[in-house]
Amino acid sequence: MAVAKAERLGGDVSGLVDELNQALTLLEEGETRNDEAMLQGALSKVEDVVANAPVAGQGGVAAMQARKVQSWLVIGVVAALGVIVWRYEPRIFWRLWVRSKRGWKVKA
Amino acid sequence: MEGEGLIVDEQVMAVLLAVLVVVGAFAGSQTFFPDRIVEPFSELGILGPEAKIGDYPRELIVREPFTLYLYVGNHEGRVMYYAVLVKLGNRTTSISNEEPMDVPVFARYGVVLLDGKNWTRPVTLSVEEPGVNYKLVFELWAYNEGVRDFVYHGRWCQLWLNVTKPAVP
Repeated sequence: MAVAKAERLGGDVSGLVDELNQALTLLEEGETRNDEAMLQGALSKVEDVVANAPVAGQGGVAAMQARKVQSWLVIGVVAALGVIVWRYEPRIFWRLWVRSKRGWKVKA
Repeated sequence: MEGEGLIVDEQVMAVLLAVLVVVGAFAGSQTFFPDRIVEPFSELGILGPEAKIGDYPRELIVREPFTLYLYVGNHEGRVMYYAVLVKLGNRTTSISNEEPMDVPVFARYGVVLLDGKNWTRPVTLSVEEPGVNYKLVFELWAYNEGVRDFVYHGRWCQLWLNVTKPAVP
């Protein structure tokens, strides 16, 4: 099933699913009324879906790659923040602490 | 005193780093596996003529049309192509979650559903032959890519019907 494959690749298949359901409705009505035009319409929609599914799949691959890059960036930033906090946090913390208590006076 | 301060600093650092690692791991897992489904399942339901649970037909006349609503829900974590097969059996015909009812298909309805979506549609049916304790069964089948055909999905609903001949004037 071309739509399932496109979805597995991360593609947005909602439009394809809508079109498939329209085809199923046409097929059902065409069979009930024995209407050849409706049956042909259903077949044409299915062919459209099969033709467009790889495009949706390719879009999904690109989006998935972008998400992976984004996630590695997030992991990199978090790791860098960890190193920065590890190295500089005590200095920054105590500097801020001293600055905030600057006005205090020691009572003997 | 300086040494004591240093120990506290290292403990604070360790806690901060642990928090950062946990947050990073969670963010990473959510990015890599955003739509992980723990327990996939599908839903099948039959609603009455008012699209509510109840008021199901019980006594019918031959060829008298009656309307029910089919409900199908997809929580399988992927797009699914479902078929609902309607079959008419009797007290002796059996059905289970493993085996569908072994009688001819009375009506068939298909739908393709994205994960997390559901579908409700009216269906109008009628029974051609009089009989007592008819078992009107709705079975959920799903398209299986491996076998390239629909496979019984183990979900079914049934209604008991008595169908009588129309009164002769």
